[in-house]
Amino acid sequence: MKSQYFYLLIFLIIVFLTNAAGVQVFSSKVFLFPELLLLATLIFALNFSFGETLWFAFGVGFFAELFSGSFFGGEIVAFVCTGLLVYFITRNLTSQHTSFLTAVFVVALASVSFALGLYAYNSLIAIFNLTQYIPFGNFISTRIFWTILVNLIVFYPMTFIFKVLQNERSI
Amino acid sequence: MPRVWVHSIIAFLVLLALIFLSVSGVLAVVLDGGRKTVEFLQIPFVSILLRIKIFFSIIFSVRDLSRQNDILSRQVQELTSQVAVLEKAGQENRILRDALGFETEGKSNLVPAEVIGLDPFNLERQITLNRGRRQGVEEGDPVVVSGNILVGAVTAVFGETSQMQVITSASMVVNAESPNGKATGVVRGEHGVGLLFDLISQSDVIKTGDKVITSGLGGLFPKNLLIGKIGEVRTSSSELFQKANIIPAVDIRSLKVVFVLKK
Repeated sequence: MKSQYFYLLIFLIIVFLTNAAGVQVFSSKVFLFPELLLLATLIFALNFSFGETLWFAFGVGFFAELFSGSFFGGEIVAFVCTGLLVYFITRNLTSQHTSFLTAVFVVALASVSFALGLYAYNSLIAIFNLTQYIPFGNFISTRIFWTILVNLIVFYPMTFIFKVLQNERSI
Repeated sequence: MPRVWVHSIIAFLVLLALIFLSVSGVLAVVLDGGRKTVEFLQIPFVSILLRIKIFFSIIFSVRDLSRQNDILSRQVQELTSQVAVLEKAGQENRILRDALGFETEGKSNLVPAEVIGLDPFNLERQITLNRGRRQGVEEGDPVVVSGNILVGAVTAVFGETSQMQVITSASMVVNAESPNGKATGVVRGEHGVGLLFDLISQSDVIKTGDKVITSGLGGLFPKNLLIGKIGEVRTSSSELFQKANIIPAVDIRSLKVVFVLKK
């Protein structure tokens, strides 16, 4: 059990470092770089229990807070909400098996709900004058279609790597 | 109580505790240390991704290279002649200042800093830099590139890192003027998407292509820092002031190395 979480931590750290480096390198066209942390949360929500998904998303959110420009907590809330939403959707509405259509639906849902979660948290905090209100268009614009497409392209290879790690773990 | 609720309540309480620690400044040490660690660990990742980016950019730009080469060659010729004229003017300026006893502008102290973190969702663009209090960075310090192009100001300082807000952020207001002094006003950020030159008197003369620089009024930013050039002038006789869109002098989204300007 302990080695299981060790593997997951290593997986999370590598994904986080790749994501942070990607955002930096492709900063002028960042919407064309996959949201690796979001995809990791999504894959986790598909494969693990409620509690594990929640704490993994919480950890991912905390890592993301390192470079967040928003008021503290926005990334954590957005990742946790997205992870749990995907968890409930794939347990009650769709199957956990990621057929192409399910993958399209889940990736699009995660990409949009993550942006909405950030927007909602920022707007809520702005009401208390603790941060500045950021317009809706900064979170959701037509660029999100590109982000969804790129996320979808990376989703399957990332799932494959995750499965390999899972199999390694269980040996 | 179902386990789902137990997990949710604990996570909520932990989040509240973290927010409290963040607001009280205790968490800043952890985040600062985390950023420095990530800056070190992500070096190989940045290197690999940079190679990938360069590979693709070469493929996509190979057709334009010849055309770009022509344009740049012409620009080099024009700029070389401009430099010669300006060097002569600068020399005369120094002699005249000495003769008249004018105070010369003090040399600015620049602290070089690398961009180590960006928030892709926050177009207000809080950018994380790898220089902090220990390197002499202070809150409110202007941040420039290429010597005199204003790109933002430091808004939060930690031990080893700091955060800057870019000039296009809505909370940034800079006193500005055109270099010939024919127009003065303030430059505001427009939620990370652009810059607006506002509060320009109707009698002031501005036109597309004019450069906009800091006026130094208010003392927050030194004067003569380049902000950008005027893109479109919005004049209406029914309004008290003229407005103009500004095209920033640099692409704010692709900042890699910046300089914190110490007074």
